[in-house]
Amino acid sequence: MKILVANRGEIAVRILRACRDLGWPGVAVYSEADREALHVRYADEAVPIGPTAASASYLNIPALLEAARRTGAEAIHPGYGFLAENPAFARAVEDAGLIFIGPRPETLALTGDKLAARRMARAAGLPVLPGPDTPLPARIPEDLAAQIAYPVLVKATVGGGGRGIRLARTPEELEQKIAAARREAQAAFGDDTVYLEPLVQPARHIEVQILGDGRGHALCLGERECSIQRRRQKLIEESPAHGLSESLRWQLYDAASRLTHALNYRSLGTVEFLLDSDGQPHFIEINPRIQVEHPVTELVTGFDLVKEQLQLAEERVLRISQDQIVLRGVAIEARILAEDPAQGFLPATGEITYLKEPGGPGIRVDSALYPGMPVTADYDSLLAKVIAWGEDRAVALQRLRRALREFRLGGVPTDLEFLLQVLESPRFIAGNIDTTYVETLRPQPQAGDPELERQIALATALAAHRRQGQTKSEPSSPSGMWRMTAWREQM
Amino acid sequence: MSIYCVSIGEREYRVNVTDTQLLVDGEPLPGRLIPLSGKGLYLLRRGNQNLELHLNVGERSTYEVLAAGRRIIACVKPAHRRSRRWPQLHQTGDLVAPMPGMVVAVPVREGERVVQGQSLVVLESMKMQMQLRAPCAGRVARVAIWPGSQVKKNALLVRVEESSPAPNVGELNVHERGTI
Repeated sequence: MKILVANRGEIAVRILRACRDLGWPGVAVYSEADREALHVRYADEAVPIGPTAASASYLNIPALLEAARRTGAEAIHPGYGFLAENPAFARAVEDAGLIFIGPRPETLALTGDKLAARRMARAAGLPVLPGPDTPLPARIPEDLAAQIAYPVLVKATVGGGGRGIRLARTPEELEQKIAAARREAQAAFGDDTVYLEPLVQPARHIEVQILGDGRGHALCLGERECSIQRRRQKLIEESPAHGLSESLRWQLYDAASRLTHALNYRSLGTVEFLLDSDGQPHFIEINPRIQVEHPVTELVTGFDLVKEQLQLAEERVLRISQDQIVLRGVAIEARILAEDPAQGFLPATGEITYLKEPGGPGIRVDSALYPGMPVTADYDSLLAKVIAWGEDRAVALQRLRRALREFRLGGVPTDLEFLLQVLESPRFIAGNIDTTYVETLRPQPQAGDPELERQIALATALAAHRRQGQTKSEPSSPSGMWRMTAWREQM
Repeated sequence: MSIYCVSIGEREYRVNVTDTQLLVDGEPLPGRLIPLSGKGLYLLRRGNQNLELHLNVGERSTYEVLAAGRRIIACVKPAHRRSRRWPQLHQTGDLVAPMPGMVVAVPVREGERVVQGQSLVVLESMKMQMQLRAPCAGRVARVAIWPGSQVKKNALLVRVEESSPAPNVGELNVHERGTI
């Protein structure tokens, strides 16, 4: 089956690789800025779909459908972000006679509304945080206002990626935070509907990977811990979650399965929970797409999730059974972002001047980086993912640290050293983490190692010295050289 | 001898490069910088140890250095071009220019032990040369100028860290050039 990948960057390369592994042709689409991108060069065919702005290219439904028509693609894989959870897109793809690699449009409509998802989860018997499952009205009625327990989260009903969320600590702040959340949600998702959710803090973010065939069968492929987050953006994820009791694990799997069956879920999905400090799980939402952190599940289960998604789309049945899914070892992923911890994690731009990705035992790198690649503010700041697998958590952690130290990326500041700071911290090593942990760490740029700095001082001074020496011995200008030659010839 | 001031973050390192010696902040740090075939790639070889570095030269003498898993920005300036980075406070052992002029000779090196009254700098000013002498005995902690440097009045020339004189006075090199 010919697959069109409606995405860019590392996930586009990932999906195209799965197509290659299946022997299926892959079509890439690209914006003006991505003309020379790796996913474009990797694919069998590549079609330009518009100018740099995402709204004009990767979010441009007519352009994507036209690209599929022109190339004869039979299915579209939306990746993550962009149109991956957009029910209108899924419907348009199916109306065009193509297969949408993901859940059914009706499922996307339901999961896209977080309140509807909560109602569904509650009905299916999942533990859900207390609170009204209805949108917040423009003016909060007195009886509701009286019931609000602070601190409380104001969350956008639509959308994800940690946006459209604000925390109100006191009743006085509430109105202003609601307004801010509404503004952000309107700008990011075109919908300013919000709802209130009690704040669970400290909490562990634990999510369960599911795969359904849309015909009543579903699999659970283990859980992931994603508590290492900065401003609700995940930085480090691992599978399995450290230190979960077997009974809690089964409780989570059971809850996820019940929801999957209630939705008659098709394709890949992730059921998210927050574990409070008493170890009680609370359903948050379901993500109806492949996720950035899927490699950790792939490494501990041994299955290629994207390939399973693709084959499911063609064959319509699950090829693997639950008893084949056995989690082995531990996998940890670190996200390399173009953000400068020394400048408050401000997104950085530049050009990749030097690149050397890590390798060796137990290391996997998912990236679309290449030397000379421009790093711009047009799309998200994810540069690469480094994932380590080990037979236990200590081995995986050691390998990940080794791999991050091997990584050479020149031309833009990244969060590499901050990631190492987290991975070397006693709390992370002990697995004693929660969603507030990263906020307690202050980035320590270039901390320690005066010996290394002295050597670098020496090396750069020698390099400057060498350059000075070179400019003195070389002819002062090309024309000077020619003049000298001409003079010699005249002699 | 060439002196370079390398700024890394908040810290500053002084690197002395001569034909026979390499010093970082007055301490010897022997090593060779070997260019590798890849552009920007070097090895800093010290004995049996190799440190691989990738150097990318940017604007205003800044180097982006990738080494040992770190990304460090180093700013390298030849010492005589630096201005105003010196602390303005003058300590006991500071030798300053009594008037504006040009440095003709610097007969001492950093790290060298000197005695009080020893000639440290020969300064030419208003067509006269003068020897400027060590205000105290001790170790030459900093040499802030170079033959050819133009200095303003009160500019710091040499900083001597006060300490008891070296036991073997005969080792000292004392040059006399012109007199006032």
